[in-house]
Amino acid sequence: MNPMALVNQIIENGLDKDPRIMALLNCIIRNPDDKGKIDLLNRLASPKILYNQMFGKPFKETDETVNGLIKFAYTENSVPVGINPDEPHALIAGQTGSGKSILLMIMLGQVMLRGATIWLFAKAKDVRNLLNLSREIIVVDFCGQTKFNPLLSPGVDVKFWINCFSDIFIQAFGLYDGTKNFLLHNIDYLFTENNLPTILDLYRLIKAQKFPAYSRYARYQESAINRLGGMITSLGRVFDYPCIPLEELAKRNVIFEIQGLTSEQQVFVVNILLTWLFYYRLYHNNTGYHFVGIDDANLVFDKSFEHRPDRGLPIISHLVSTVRKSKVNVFVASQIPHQLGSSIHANSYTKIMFGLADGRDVDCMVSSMGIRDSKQLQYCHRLGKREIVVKFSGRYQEPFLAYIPEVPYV
Amino acid sequence: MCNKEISDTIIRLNNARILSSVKLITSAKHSNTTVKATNTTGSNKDIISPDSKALLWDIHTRPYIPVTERYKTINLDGKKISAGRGTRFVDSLQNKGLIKVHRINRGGRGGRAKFLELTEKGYQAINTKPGLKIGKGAGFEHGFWQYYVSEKLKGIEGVKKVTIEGNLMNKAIDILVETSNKLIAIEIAMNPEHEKINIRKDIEVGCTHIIIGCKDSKILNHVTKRIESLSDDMKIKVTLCLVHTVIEKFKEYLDLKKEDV
Repeated sequence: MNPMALVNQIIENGLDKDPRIMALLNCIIRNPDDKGKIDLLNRLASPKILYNQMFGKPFKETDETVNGLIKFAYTENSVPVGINPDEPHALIAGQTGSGKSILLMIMLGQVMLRGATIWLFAKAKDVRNLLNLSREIIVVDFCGQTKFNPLLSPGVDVKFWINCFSDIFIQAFGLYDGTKNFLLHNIDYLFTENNLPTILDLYRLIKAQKFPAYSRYARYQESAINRLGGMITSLGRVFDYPCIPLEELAKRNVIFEIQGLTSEQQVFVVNILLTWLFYYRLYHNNTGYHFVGIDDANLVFDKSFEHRPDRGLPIISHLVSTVRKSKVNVFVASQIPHQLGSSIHANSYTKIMFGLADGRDVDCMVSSMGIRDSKQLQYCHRLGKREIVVKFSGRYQEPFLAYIPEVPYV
Repeated sequence: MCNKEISDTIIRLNNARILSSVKLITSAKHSNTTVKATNTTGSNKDIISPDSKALLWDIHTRPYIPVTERYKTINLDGKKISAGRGTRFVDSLQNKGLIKVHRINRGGRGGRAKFLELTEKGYQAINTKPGLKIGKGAGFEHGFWQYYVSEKLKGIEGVKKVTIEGNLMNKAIDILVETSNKLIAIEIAMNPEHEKINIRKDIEVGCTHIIIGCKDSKILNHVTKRIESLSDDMKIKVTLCLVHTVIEKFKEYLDLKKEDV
């Protein structure tokens, strides 16, 4: 083999860390005509290069900088991989059963034990196992035991909060501007009459009004009653008094089990609570970190929400980029990353990819991680069990391969 | 993380414990509830602090865990509890008559562990009734051993099912253990009175072996003497031991039977 080609191969295959090979290379550099040394280097390096080409992983070995406070994996050379609280947010993509939820629990469990607050939105009851780590977790199962009122402002101006509420409501329930303004007007009126209104009060207020059947207001009223009525059926007992101030929930670890809600209600609940938390943290000087885990991120960050010119950009998409200042970190898991909006892709410091079944999802993740090397691209399509590709946006910027530790009984 | 299942009941009780210190928002139509304990004489002199209520709820939810473990997994006043602070807190609750303290030797090193039990006044303070107590009217220590032994048994290879107060043809057995081909009865003897009858009945209802775990060596001697009059057929099916060695004896029995096979 040509000596220069051999040197390139040595570097590409990571053999530049082998002291014997490096010693030989040094000799050859000093005396390029020493054919004996070149032959020896060939004999020493070629089998290793061949082995690497056949069985090796196309990702470079990492250094210690991949380690962080919240550890979740280890690399091939057994270096722990972790993220730091000042590196928001994390996107975890993987097909069903790949271990996304377990990874979320590993990360949030550590965060909780270190004294930070967590909120976790999940569809599976498995996440309750976090209670085996600490009993200081409230589980909200939306059956009426734990009540709260999302209509009450997180400390921002009431009129501003009413705008946010109406925006999220119409976005989640597929309504349009006319109904939004109708709702705005009614919620505003409700607050002038009663400073602690509930969604049930709003429903009653709208239902009590009479409009000529042919008027547009009657249509807005019909749409609002239809959506509010559906929501009250299952969430009426949750959004009622006597309720826990959301400020109290913001100080505690909470698991929201949303599996019993309809998909629209899930979108509404996750969005309204996150927006409430984000504004609460933005307008109150909170010192500690708050970590939010969302087990199915498509609920909140679905691409389609960002592509509705009639409804504008979702508040949550804008907030993801601003909450860093108020120390809110979001860990999101998704099975369909190609359907996630650009806000979460653009604002995730850490991207983690498990094995994905759909080629579009793999393509989306590799492009989001900036993987261009053809061997790495190919390898991303055949990730094994507990094998992940990680990419940080700072600290260590090369994508690398890591393994999730086996956690029994989670 | 262990694989203990967290049921809806545990969640409900745990939420109630954490939120017992939170002041709820009530609209005009709802009256705010004050946090006061009613003592047995009916007066409302002692106001229970939110932290006390949180601890009382935890005792109600998890009655059979030692205080050291309790301090590790709950916070008071938003902070972890140190042993010293915990002891002072527990003493004050004991002085108010809200809890009873039990000391139980679980065997091995470390002396006697401290366990807490709610009194009637304690239950009144958190507006609830005894719910998670184990055993048929037996004392706290009996219930503790039933819980402790059954939890340990669940991890043993070959054990298919462990039932506290297992019922076999209307005979209640303290702990009934089912393996693939055996029914083993474990009786906890806090006193020697009923053990002879227990052995007879357990064998009659089809138990293949009976392990009697005695509270202390005095009771062990009493029970040993009392069962001397039993027939050899019965005696061969009985293992007598101290309660903290039940697991050991159970494993020995299983190993013996494996060798027999």
